Amino acid sequence: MKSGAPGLLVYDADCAFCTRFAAWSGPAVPWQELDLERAGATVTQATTAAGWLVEDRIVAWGSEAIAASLVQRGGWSGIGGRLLRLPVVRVAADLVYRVVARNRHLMPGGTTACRIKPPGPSGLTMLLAMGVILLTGLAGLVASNRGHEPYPSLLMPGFGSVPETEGSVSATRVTYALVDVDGSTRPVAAAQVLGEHSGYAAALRTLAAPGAATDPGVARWLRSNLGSAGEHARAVTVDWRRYSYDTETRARRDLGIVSSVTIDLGLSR
Amino acid sequence: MSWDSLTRIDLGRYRVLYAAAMLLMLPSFTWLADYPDALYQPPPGPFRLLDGFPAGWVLAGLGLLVAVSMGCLLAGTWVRAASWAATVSMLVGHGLSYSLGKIDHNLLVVVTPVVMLAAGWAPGSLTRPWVLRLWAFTIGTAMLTAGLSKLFGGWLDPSSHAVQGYVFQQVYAFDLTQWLGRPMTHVAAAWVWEPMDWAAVVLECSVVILAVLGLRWFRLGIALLALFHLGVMLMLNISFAGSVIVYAAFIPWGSLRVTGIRPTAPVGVTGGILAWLLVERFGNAAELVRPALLIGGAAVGMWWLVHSVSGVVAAQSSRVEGGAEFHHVG
Repeated sequence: MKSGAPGLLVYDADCAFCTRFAAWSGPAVPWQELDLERAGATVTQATTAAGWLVEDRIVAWGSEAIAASLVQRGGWSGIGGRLLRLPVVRVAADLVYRVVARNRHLMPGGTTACRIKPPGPSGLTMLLAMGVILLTGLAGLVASNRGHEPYPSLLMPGFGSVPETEGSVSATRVTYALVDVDGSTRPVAAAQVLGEHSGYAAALRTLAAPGAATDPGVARWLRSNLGSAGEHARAVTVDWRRYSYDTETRARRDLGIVSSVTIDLGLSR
Repeated sequence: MSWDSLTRIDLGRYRVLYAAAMLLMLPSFTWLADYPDALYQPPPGPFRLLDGFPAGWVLAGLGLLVAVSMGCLLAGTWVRAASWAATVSMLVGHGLSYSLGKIDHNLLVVVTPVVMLAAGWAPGSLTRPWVLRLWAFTIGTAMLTAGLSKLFGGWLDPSSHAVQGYVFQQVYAFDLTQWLGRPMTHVAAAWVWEPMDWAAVVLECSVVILAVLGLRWFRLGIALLALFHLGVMLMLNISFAGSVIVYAAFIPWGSLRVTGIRPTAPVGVTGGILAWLLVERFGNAAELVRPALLIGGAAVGMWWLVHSVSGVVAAQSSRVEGGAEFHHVG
């Protein structure tokens, strides 16, 4: 009988009760230190039952492994171990082992961490869950492509279409300018218009939202951001200007303004 | 290698790493209070229920809640409540800031605390491998959305070069000239750019398949993704450090032999409040932490790839040696 050969008790080091028993019983090794694949075992087996390792293979599990370790320990324990191997006792020992293993967190020295994991969902449930996740991601993508990116949504930045064609890259730059009361314009930095927490694009899209350009709250907010720089300004213009860049020479060509919004600061005289 | 090879020690250490990284990159939401309500244009979703930005004290409270939750996660106290509070407060805070028109795709890092709570990152809780498996699939699906967007956007067309185009955009249209962006605009060879387009699409579309195949394959995917994100930072100046933090959940941190001082609950809470005060006063350390995380993530990914390849080579050579010995004996 293989489990009668000298060996090591394989136990779960995450379980204090199991660790205490292993320390008492004699030579033992936690499954966490074993190459389970080589030992012919799975993590599920190793976390749910004690094993008996002979050379590099686990040859017995559960009550049989406990019996083997007791026999190896010798003395009274050895007699107990041999008793556990008797045909009728073995069946009862197996049942007792299962009950103890299932409730090992309630045993002396046991903690919550000793609890054996409940079985996970079935394969079909997992398949359904994966289907739901996949559909959720794809639905977000469809909505996003229609210009209505939802939040929260399971999306990663896709970048989308290729900006380069035939050695030319086209891109949009956003520029800000102040329109003074005398009608002259002067460029102004984005951070000065949007405030220090604006980020590189925050508020850009919403500045072009319907109603934003004429909203007194927006005008007040802009005036507060501009401070003294906006003293003589009556409006802020935001231009979305398209440029193309030659990938060989890196030369820039102005393709003109594609969109523009002028926000009245409420100082028109 | 199955999903249950990740132990509660792995997950517990990941919780500490996640909380530490997030404390260094704490978001602030108070700046939103300055914005006029006319600029509140929420995306389709629950934030359409509001008419404008909440008051400053509400936004400050949200930031404080994120900070204290991260402190608790770091210390390992009230982990269940802290995980929920962290996810909900970040979800709400980011949802409000995205109502200004720019959405950052950071949902994965935001929902990580709740997902990992279910997976078993709280002290003394049971690990649930099936949660990790579904989480890996979710990450794969998120990457698939990026890959499909590129695929349908014409990235595989050999006559045009998407990565080159975006490098030009970042450098010339957005003035993001750090790292390798500007030198890369001097590279014109198509054989450099076109494989990058293909690699991005193939990698992003395949992670979901790798997640289905198992943990070993998924680790291959995230190792490659970590290198990919470093490349994106170096060339495009776009930092996906949050993604690297998310991938770190699948690393067996328990196998590292480390000893450290375990912070207590008061230390965690005080640390969180202190971090929040620092962020509100001086801003967070994200500009430094993000590149460090991306470089660290890529280093771990590279180490894993080299380790795996050398393991396969060693196994092959021992098989060949075994075969030769058998042949000799025979």
